[in-house]
Amino acid sequence: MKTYLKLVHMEIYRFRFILLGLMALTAVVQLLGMQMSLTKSLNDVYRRMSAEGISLSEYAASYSKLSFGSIHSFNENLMTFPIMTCIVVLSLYIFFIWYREWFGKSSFVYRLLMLPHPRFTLYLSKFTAIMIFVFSLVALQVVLIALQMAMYRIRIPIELREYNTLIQTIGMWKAVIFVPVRLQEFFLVYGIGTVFVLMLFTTVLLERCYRFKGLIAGLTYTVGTVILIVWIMMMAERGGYFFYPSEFLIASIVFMLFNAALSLWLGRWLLRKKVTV
Amino acid sequence: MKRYAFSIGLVTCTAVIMAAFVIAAFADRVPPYELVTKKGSAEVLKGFALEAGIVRISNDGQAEWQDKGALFNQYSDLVANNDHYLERNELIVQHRSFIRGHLYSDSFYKDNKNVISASVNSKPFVIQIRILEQTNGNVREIEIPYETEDSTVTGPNGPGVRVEDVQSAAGNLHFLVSEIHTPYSGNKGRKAIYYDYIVDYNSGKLIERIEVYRSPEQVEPYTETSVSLISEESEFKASSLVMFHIKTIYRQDQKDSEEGLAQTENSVAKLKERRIMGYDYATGSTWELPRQGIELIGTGLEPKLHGGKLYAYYAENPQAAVYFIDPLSGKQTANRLVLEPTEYRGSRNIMLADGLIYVSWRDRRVPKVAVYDAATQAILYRGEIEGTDSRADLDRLWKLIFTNNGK
Repeated sequence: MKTYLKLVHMEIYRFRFILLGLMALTAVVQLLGMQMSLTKSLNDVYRRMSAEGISLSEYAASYSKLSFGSIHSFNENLMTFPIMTCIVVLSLYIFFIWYREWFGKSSFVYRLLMLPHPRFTLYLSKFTAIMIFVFSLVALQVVLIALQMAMYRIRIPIELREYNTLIQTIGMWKAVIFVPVRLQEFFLVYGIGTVFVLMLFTTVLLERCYRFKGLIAGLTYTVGTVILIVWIMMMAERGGYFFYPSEFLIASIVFMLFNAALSLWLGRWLLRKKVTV
Repeated sequence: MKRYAFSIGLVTCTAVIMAAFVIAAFADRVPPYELVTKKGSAEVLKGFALEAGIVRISNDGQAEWQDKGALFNQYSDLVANNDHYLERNELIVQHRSFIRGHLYSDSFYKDNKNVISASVNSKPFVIQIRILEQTNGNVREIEIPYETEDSTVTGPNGPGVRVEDVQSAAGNLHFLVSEIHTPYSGNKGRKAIYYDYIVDYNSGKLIERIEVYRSPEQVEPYTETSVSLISEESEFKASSLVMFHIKTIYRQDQKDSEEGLAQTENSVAKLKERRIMGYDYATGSTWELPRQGIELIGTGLEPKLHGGKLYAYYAENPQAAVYFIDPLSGKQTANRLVLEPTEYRGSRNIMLADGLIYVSWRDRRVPKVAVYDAATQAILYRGEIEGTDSRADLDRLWKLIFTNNGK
């Protein structure tokens, strides 16, 4: 356990600058984007009030309130850009977290594989680190929305304000898929993400063990699984098939669980028996 | 320990924030609204729910969020038993294996003896009928060949043929089939035909095919005839009759010389003629709704058929009333039921079910509900939506729509 925690710490520590950079980028872009959206929305309101010669309360009675969602969506691309950047960087790091051991300074993998502990600990520590990065960015996103709500309350006059809870606010956001507010969706989104990480880990290990053939096998396995999951979900959405949509959902969950188990088993086996330096 | 400060700090902060997020999500799992009874018993609302945006409120004091999240929305009507808001989704609960793969059949019928589904298979055209005999659980499948006419003058996929209504009368099954021909452009070949396919219940053989309605040949330029079916409001309920709302429209383009889109944008549509034709399944006879009824509906009302009676109303109107019309004589069978005015145009919803009239509207920002007995116009139930805590914002419940919740 101690080795596992030390390895997790090592992975987090190695990634700290990139992680902090991603966090800073997300915070700056999203908070600035919100500030710009608030200013634009208020300018539009004041311009209309001035053109029509009406007071704030008259405006509120005649027009709809300035909802957080509508203001937020003014700069939707700006709000989503850092999230996409984080996803891309983390996706690349899934490969980098393994390959740096082989191709980094003095082939660190020699020392890691020689540790007097099960090699699978190494696998689990890398996986844990990736999940910590993901959830730390999700947590940051929750904090940023709370801050944006505070900005909304400070800048928007009470007559034009709409009251929303944090969960309602996140629920109205178009990028809610990244921070699901419904428990079942949270498990589904991050369940799919977790299986995807495990499959990419397996792909990397297959490549390290069997080189080009392993890479082809791993990619085929990962891409095939993704295609199958998407196909099942599309069939559920279209409806009218022999199976009910809920049965398609159960099928896709069972399939993902099977893939997670297979990836873990394969990863463990490859690390124990096949991986070479 | 100091060496691990960054990792411990990151994990702790993440855990605390995520825990707070989970607590907030848990606190927000139930929408802060409830239906409060002001008069009568909420039993009349049993089986229905009120949907307003992402909130669904039922008569048993329960409220739930409608959105299950982007990924789950496609499963939402099937995951939980209380989530069947479409009328035909009741069948999933009651007859899951019979409906399997046939939920999107064209039309359904249900009585104490049978559940019937019917669809048209297009290659070749065949009416596919499935009958579930509720007494013994047997499923019979019947196929009736369907011949289209003039298929050469229609689009690449041939005419649109579908079963619009299924009924049972005098020991026979009736399948009202529409055949719509839509040419690429122009009116030549545009037509709508409705047939009643009468099938013997026991043998499953076609007894007779009656042509109920055929749209007139479009000979006059700029003139087109549209037909819309007025069938029983509750899809599964038996109805001895069905009606056709036929409108002849004169469409004159303001700029005859200009081609393409501009013509469409500037076209002026004038209603030239309105007819409402009835069809009796048992006798196979048709009749025209007399002028009195046509004139009343022509004031901007929407005709609805429920329990063999014709109703007419325009729910969008802030000062709406429900009219009761005899489908044979066109005369009003009772005084109109004047509904309470609603604040905003379009914020009222009216539903007809089981001989009752369900109305929702907004009064001084409060969403309200009333249920009237259609026969006596007596008010059976009155209720309104109230917020249960400070999160509630009644302005969000702009329009309450009655839906079937399968209970």
